[in-house]
This record gives sequence, C-alpha cells and structure tokens, in this order.
Amino acid sequence: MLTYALRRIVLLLPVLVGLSIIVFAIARLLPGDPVQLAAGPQATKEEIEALARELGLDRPLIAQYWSYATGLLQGDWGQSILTRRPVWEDLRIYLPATLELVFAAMAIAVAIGLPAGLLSAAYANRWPDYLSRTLSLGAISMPRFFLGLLMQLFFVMQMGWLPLGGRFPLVEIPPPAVTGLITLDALIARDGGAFLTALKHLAMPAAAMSLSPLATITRMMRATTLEAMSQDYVTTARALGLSRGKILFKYVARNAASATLTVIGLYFGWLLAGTVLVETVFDWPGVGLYATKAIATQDFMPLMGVTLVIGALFVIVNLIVDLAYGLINPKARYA
Amino acid sequence: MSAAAPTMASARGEALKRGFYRFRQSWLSLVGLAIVVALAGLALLAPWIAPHPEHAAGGFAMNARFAPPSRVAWFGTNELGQDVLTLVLMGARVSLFAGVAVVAMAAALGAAVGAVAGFFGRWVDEALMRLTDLWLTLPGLILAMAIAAAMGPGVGNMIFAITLTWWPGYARLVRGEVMARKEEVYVQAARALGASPARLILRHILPNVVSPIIVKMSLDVGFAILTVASLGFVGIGVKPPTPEWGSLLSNARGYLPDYWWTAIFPGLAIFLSVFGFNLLGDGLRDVLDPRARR
Repeated sequence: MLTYALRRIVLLLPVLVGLSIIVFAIARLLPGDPVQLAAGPQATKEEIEALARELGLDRPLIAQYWSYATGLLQGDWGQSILTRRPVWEDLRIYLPATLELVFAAMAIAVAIGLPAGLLSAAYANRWPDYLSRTLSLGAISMPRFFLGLLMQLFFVMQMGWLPLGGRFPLVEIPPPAVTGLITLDALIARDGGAFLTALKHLAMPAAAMSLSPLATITRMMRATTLEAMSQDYVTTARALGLSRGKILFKYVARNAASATLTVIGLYFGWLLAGTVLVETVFDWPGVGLYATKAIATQDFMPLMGVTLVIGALFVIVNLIVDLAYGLINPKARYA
Repeated sequence: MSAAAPTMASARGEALKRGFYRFRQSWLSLVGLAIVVALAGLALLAPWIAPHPEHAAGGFAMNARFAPPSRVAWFGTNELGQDVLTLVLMGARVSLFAGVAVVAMAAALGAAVGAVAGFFGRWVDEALMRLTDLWLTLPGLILAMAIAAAMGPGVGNMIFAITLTWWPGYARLVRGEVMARKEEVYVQAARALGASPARLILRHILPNVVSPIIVKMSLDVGFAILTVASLGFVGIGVKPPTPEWGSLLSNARGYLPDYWWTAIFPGLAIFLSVFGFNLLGDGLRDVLDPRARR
C-alpha cells in the first residue's frame, strides 16, 4: 500500500507541471501584445524593446516558463488589476467560501440522493422509479444558473424568506475565522444567531449547486442497488424468510451505498469547477466569482490563478479518493 | 458468399427493426426525439417565422420597452423593446449549432487521437494517452473559460475553446474500441492483402466502432449546449448583438423581478433543449449499447 501511495504521489508531479504548462500556454494566447499594452500607445519601438527586456519577454519561451513556474512555487501568482493585490493573497481569502459551498452541496446531494436511489430501485419500473428517473434527468438538464435565478425570484423576491446573495451581511460582524467556513466558525464560537444567518445565505447556492450531483448519486445508487439485489445472498435471505424491507435496508443498502460513495469523491473536483456559475448568480465571494469578475474587466492573472488552483485541487482530491479507495479495496491498487 | 450476403443484410435490418421497436417502447425517448425535432425545425425556420427578425441583428424599438407577454408579443419585450420570442428563436440557431459543432469537432479530434494510439500501440499509445489523461484531469469548464476569455468573444472562438476541453473522452473511448478490434480476423485479412494503416483504420476498424461514438455524442450534445450557455452567462460567449440564450439570461438578471419574462423564456429554452437531447441520448444508448441496458 505504501509503495502504491508513493508511486501515485510521484505521478502527481508531472500532472501538476502539465497543468502549469497549459495555463502558461493560455496566458501566451492573450489578445494583444502584453508589452505593447504595458508600455502604452505612445511608446516608441526602442521603449517597447527595453520594456520587453526588463519584463524578460525577449527570452526564449522555455526560459520564460521556467521563471513563471519558479515564481508560482514562491507564491508569486501575479497581481490582480481589479483588487490591486497579489493573486495568491486573494485566492487565500476566497477559497474557503468556495469549499464551504461545495461541502454543503455535497451534503445535500448525499442526504437526498442515497434514499431516493434506494427507493427507485426498490420500486424498479413502477411509478416511484419513473418519477425519480425523470426528475433526475430533469435535474441534470437544468442549468444551475437558471435554477438559481428561479430560486431568487421565488424565495427572495416573492416570499422574502432568504437573502438575495452574499455570504454574510456586510453590516454584521462574522464569527472569528478558525476554519474559514462561516457556518462552522459560528458553531465553534457557539453563536447560534450567526450560524442561522450564515445558513440562510448558504441555503440557496448550496441547493442550486447540489442538483447535478444529486441526480448522479440517485442514478448511481439505483443501479448499484439493482445489481446488489440480484446477488445470491439476497436470494438466500429471501429463502430464509426475511422480509423484503429488512433485506433491502439492512443488507442491500449498505453494499450499494459503499459503491456509490466512491463516486461521490470523484464528483468533488467536478463541483469545484462548477461553482463559477452559482457563485456568479448568488454573489457568493468564492474563487468562481473572483474569476468571472476578472473576466469582465479583462484582468487575466486572477483567471490564470483560479484555473491553476482549481486544477491542482481537482487533481489532489482525486488522488486522495483513489488512495482511500485503495485502502478499502486492495484490488484497486493495481488497476 | 453470394448466399451469405442477403442473410447478413436481413439480419442487420432485423436488428434495426428491433432497435427501433425498443426505442419506441420507451416513451421518454420519444418525447426527447419530439423535443429535438421541434427545436431543430424552429431553429431552421427562425428567420421566417420570428415576428421581428431584425431585432436579432441589433434592431430595437424603444417605444415598446418591457411589454409583458401578450397576444402581440408572446414572450414580451426586453429593455430595448426587442421581441423576446424572436431573440429566443434566433438564439436556438446559435446554441444548437454551437452545441452540435462542439460535439462533432471533439468527436473527430478525439477519434483521430484515439484511433492512432490504439492502432499503433507502444510508445505512440503511451505518449498520446498520457497527454489525454493529463487533459482529462483538468477541470473542463474553467479551462474552457480561460481559453475563451484569452481568445476573445465570438461563436467560433467559443466552439474552439470548448472543443479543446472535450476531446479526451472520445480519445479514450475510441482507443479502447480500436484496440479490441484490430486483432479481429477481418482486419488481419485486410492487412494480409496489403491494406495501408490508414485504410485499415478508416475503412475496416472505425466503421465498426461507430455506435459507441454515436451514443456518447448524443449524450454529450445536451451538455455541450449547457456549456455554451454557461460561457454566455458569465460573459465570454458571443459578440453582441448575437442572441445567445446564456447571455440573454445574464442580461435579463438586472431586470428581475419586475420584467421576469426577459429571463424566464431564454432559461426555459436552455432547459428544454438540454432535457430533450438527454432524453434522446438515453434512448439511443439503450438501443445501440446493449451493455448499458438495465
């Protein structure tokens, strides 16, 4: 197991290098000549050449990439034009908000998806099954940003139950930051009021976010449950006179859920990338909103930073899931 | 030989008939097919049936701003007095075209990479598949956003950016299928007759792996449309005034809740088309891919 884990971790390095090369290549695709832009429209040819030398842009691409990559390792991720701060500092502020959203969405998806999938399988090809299958296909097809708008239209503008957006009221003081996740920080500070406020802000974005993993988990759970129900031990249990419900909930559900749960880990990375849209709709101050604001103002360093940080998290989370799965299931170690 | 040919043809016809029967059995697939056909028809006919085609090219009517849905303007009008029905209909052309183009280009690129890797094996396979795996581990939406933002707005740029993040799935699929097929007797026979690698791949192997590719394409079109709308929604899609569903929706956000119709109809259009393609894709998968049937 240890060799397997070490090998996987070593294999992570080329992937991270590849990621940085791709982001670097995209940065080179930027519209316009960066030197011309920095020098201004009045600059003479000599001035432009001098600036290019100063910025190191006259060097070969490999040398340029090398200084870019070493800069990344030293925390030099460039500067945001919009916030006038180093991108790395910004990312450290915005990342916990995104993580909080992803965790909450995943919790909702698991809490509803597992029982829904189980029920769907138990009533396979009868109306609860058709209902849940149609609903989950609808849920996958629903654009998260449109669902978000509909929620705002109903829960905020019509009923006035929830705040329109944001993470915590600007005029109030959030609980002291320990984890960076406001709901959790409020619990640590034993501040019930702040917890409720944070939860109200979190509810709609997390629900909009959870839709697609919810649908996937439901379909997955249905399939694995159906497969588990055709196993010999189920027939044996039936022959021994156990009730259908007992077999389903006590034996089948457990086996099916463990197979489904491994998929959930892999979905985590996908959710991270998908927060961009939901954060934009709900003004949720995470890395996704940071990226879209950067796009709107042609501010490219933050966009590259977000691509890098989400890409790296995505790869690392998938590795952790694989390792955890290898720990549970020795057969997967050599796959 | 001459006796075998008609039986094979009729066997194929029989399989087709059975597949069609199975497809018809599931009414959800039929609903999907109906939605897709209707959307495609509306998109094709849009310039002739849209009430105000000039609005899609940037024309406006400031005296008719924010008219609610009525018998005159079914979907109401927006902040420039443009007819929302017209924008949604013309937007169908942009979204459906972009979605289908992304999937077709991604499938072509992915199939080329996968076929070469699977056919030649060894270091070619190793190199191409490492690249594919690297690409697969990257978050697609963010990458597409970054590429599209770097290239600037425009339908072509957007399609290109999304295609660049979509091909690896096809490469993996086709590589596996090609590896399984290349040792079959009919391929060996063609090779013995002196067929070139290109002829072996294009004439003998690829036609036999078409159905899993079609299944994946039909399942992907819906998500491609969704991705196109997502890029439009965050503001890096098409150039204005091109009516694109995602950017129409994003633009309408500022006029909620009073002028809800400017947002609801483009949103419903996205949902309906993605839903239709997903239903159709599910149905096709059941017909063409017996392994996935359950």
